[in-house]
Amino acid sequence: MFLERNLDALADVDRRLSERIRNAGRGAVAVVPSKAGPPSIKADGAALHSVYDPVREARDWAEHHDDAVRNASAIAVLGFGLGYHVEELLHAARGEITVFEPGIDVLRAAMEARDLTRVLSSARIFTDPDDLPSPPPDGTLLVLRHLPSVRRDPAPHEEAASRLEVLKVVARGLRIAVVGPFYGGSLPVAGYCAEALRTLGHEVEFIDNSSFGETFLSIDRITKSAPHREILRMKYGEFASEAAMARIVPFRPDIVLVLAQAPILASALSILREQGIATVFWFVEDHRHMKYWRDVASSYDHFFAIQEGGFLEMLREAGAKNIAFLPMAASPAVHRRMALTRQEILEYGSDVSFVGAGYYNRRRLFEGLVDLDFRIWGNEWGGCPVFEGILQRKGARVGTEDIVKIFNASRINVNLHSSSYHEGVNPDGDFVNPRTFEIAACGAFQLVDPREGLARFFRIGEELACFDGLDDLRGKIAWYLAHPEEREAVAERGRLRVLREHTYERRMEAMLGCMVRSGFRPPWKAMREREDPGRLVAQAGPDTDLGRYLARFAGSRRLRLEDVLREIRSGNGAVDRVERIFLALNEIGRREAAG
Amino acid sequence: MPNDDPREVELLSRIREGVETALSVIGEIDAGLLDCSKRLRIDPSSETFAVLSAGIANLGDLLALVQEIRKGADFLPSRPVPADALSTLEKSIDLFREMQAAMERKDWISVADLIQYELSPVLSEGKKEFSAVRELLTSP
Repeated sequence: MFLERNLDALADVDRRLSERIRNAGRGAVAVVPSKAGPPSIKADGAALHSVYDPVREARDWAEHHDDAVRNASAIAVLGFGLGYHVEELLHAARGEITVFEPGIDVLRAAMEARDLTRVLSSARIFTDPDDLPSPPPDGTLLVLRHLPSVRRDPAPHEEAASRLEVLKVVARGLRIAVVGPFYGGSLPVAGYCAEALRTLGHEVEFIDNSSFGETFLSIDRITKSAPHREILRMKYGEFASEAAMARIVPFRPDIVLVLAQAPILASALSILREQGIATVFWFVEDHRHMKYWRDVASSYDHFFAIQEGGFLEMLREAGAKNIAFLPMAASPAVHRRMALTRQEILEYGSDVSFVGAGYYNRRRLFEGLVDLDFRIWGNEWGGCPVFEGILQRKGARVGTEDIVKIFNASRINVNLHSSSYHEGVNPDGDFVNPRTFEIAACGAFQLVDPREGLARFFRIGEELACFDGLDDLRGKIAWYLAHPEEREAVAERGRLRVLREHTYERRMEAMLGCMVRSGFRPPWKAMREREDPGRLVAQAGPDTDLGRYLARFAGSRRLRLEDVLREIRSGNGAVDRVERIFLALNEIGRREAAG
Repeated sequence: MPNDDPREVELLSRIREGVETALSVIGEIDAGLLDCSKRLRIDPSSETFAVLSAGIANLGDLLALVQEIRKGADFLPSRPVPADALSTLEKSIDLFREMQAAMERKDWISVADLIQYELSPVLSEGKKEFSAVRELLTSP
């Protein structure tokens, strides 16, 4: 009676779980009527709810936790049963509710027994501890145990509790250094990662090496001697690596995230590792095109790649540890819908456009589009007379802000993944480029070549459209130009999908989640907690003179003696008793240091 | 009708003492077990299980006392106590067994249910029965 309605409601938020429950049996779980009327449940012979009055029991349970619930910004409940207790929490909870229930048989029984549509629309259910999401950055996650459920199967519940504890620590704010390359496609990605991590509440030091790029590129002009160039590049790489370390080491990060091609040497990585700092590499390249991954694979504690399948195995063989797939994404602050002026629409707009470098397959395929209102933006298109009048700005590099305007101004953005040897579409392409996510994030319409795994990120035909060759591309261009409403609807659905699932914030969360599952623990956590102003106020007592004094630092990330001294020195008027004690402490420390 | 037989006087005095003891502990046992039942549902600690064990032991002692009082009352012809005067409490023997079975399978919600919805009303009723017996034994 309730099953279909509940499964439909669940499918709106988690189709996969809905299907799993639909196909599951009830096992050793029995739904029994309670004396008060509403159903109760017994699993393996033991009651999970009162068989006399489960509603009253749930009310008492929620009331017992009421104060903590009202103060929490997010709640995780371990154990679902028939959901009575979760339903009661909805009255008082002000934050998100996450439920962990590993028993599919229990969930099946619950879906059959009660109308849970309200609960399912307000609380997310997870069956695997690894899938549990990070709590909000303020760290006020409350974990509540539904004891009969936990007792039935303690191991996964304890695993979930332990994972939530770590996620709580991570969510409270890590210190992360992000190291970018000299130039190239991974340079903006490094910036997006740094910004996303800041948005998630972490303290970030972005080691931007772009200022070294020009000098690095100038090496080619210094000498024609290949060995000399190699030596100069190596020496310059050593210099850049040491310069990065000079900024990383005093920052005392928990994690160093290195983007593809960033100048960090293996010797520097081993120094970081000796200090317990986790070293992470995100290889945002095509492994078939860039092969240096073999040389660096074993130097990192965690290795993330944008390709799956055989590549992950190859990485393992090359000595990489804690390997995971981490696809590209978009940065909504940058890749956004824009209101363009008439002049900008004239400058950047066309029926069809392409932004990117002139790889072989693109040249071949785009020859078939030259009769259209088609514009090509980007470099490396030299020596192609056929694109005369189509190639914009004489093939100069296009900056990110201009690219976003082009995406916004074009009726159709063609997105063809690069290949140096295919005639057009690469039928075996196995990664999705950042442009796919970026065009969608702009609310712009795109026609993209099919890629393995693309359907995992977007519903093809609903959130973006694909083409498999020139004829198909021309046909779809004609159709979508003639159907602007359909085009806009697809683009809008794609935009919403990116904002929901494919931002760098989501990717950074996934990265940290993978690291936590692999055993990552923040090395400086204990020290950081000693410097936590909230903790210091609590230790001093909020109603003491010291507690009241320290409370003025409540908004700070950390509080050290030098911060207090700075505050005292910047203040006006007489120094009070607490301040005199701090000054005395400083004086004692200074004299001891002087011997 | 008062009886001057010293043995009957002594017996009556002992039974009265037993009834008073029962009346004073029955409320405590009820309150302690009800508290346990609440904790078993929400947040049991090792202390909860210790209190539960003590409560059940006390309940056993109370049932033994009921049986002693019943036996003793049979020897008080001058103050006949009706045969079913303490029958409600005697019913709790079955409950006792059910609770033990639930405890053995670690079905703490069922233990809590039995305490809250079955045993506690029985103890309240038993208290009334003891009060009625005391009335009977102390009336002139």
